[in-house]
Amino acid sequence: MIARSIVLLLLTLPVMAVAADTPPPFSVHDTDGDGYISREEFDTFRARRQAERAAEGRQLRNAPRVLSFDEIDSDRDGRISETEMLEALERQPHGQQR
Amino acid sequence: MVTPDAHRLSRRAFLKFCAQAAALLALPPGAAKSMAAALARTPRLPLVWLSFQECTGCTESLTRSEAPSMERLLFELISLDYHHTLQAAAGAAAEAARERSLKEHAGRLLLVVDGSIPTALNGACSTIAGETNLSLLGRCLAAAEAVVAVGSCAAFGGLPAAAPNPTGAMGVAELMERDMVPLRPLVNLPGCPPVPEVISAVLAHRVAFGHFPELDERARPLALYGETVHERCSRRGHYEAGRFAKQFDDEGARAGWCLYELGCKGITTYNACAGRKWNGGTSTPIESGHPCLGCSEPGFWDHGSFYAKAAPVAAGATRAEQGRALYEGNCVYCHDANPARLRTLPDQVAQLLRDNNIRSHRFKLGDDELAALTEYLKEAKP
Repeated sequence: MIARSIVLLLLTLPVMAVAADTPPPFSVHDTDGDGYISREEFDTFRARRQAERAAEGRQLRNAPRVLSFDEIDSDRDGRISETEMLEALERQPHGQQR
Repeated sequence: MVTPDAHRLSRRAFLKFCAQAAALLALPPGAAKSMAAALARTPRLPLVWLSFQECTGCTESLTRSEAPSMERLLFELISLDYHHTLQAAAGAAAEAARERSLKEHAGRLLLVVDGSIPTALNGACSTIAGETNLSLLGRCLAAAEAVVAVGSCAAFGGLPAAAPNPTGAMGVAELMERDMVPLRPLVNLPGCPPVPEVISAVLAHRVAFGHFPELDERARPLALYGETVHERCSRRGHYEAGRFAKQFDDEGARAGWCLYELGCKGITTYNACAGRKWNGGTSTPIESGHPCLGCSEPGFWDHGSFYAKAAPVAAGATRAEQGRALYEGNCVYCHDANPARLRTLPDQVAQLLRDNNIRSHRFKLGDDELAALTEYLKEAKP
């Protein structure tokens, strides 16, 4: 069980923390691995999402709305922490349809 | 060769049409110009329009389009060799014109069909000049390069195919699926009737670029049928704010609130109404106070009362679709947006989430939601 957890942790967190006071990355969109999603990283994620949907030809069809950066960054420090992300996801109804 | 020129249509009106068509079809910037150039040098496309079990509403829609007069413009783009409502010829002369076109343009003419095709009683329920609709469609398809099914009847069977469907009515796609007519590339433009500019824009695209715009799984142009009526509805703000009219004459109805509870089907209906609007961009049924009937959806006549509240999208969605909504609403913020690239195996996801051991997964999903998510992941990553 422990071994499996470690394997999972390694798989889901490809970039490990570089310093002791840096939180471990929680998202694949945290491309610089600093434990936070910056506005640029979030914009890249959003843009990619939109492009993928457009390519699939079902632009936004029945798809949940993508939260905006400011909706998630509740302390307004310009970066999204794991806690802020969790809280934002908890605030919206799961599987919310537009 | 006939090209648009000053004697038939002004350059300004022609360019305006091209710009509108390109915008409607969501083509990239500059496409209007190349469309105009292509249309100006392309010979008119031979077109045979067949009307079967229909009400003439689709033809009405086409001919009532606004300035620049769509029908005049279409006569510059297409050679309408047969259309038994619009043509001047009648009787044997009309039939002869069609047969001549089938022969002269075999393999390159464009067929347009409105109305459904009866198959019961060997097709005897509807005949033209003594020939059943089924036989006529089969012969014309054999000579056609492609076919455009205009209106819900031609696309999905429509009203004539409503239960109990006494004439065995079918749309063109179903006949092709059953091998009852020759198979040809098909474009569906459903609607009862379709938005006029939808018909003309698709025809212009075909003439200008030699092919049809990109289609969805139901053969509808994505640019025109890619969004629900709800997504661009002028009353959408009231829906989001939870303001619903309860009766047609109540305060909410007078204030323009959302008509969802009065039976509006806009939420499940894919059509260009809300974006393009009707009567030259004047209004839509919803804007003028009536709920959307869902007329462009398959089987719309058999979906219960027009005034019964529509089932919410989630309830009508399949389990995998619910799973997709869950994935796209939650998982994509931290995992790859493409579920096929999620590293955890689909069968392990539910247990991992139930165990509550993983960081960022402390929000609760119910058993139903977990099952839907698993199903979606399995589909995406077999």
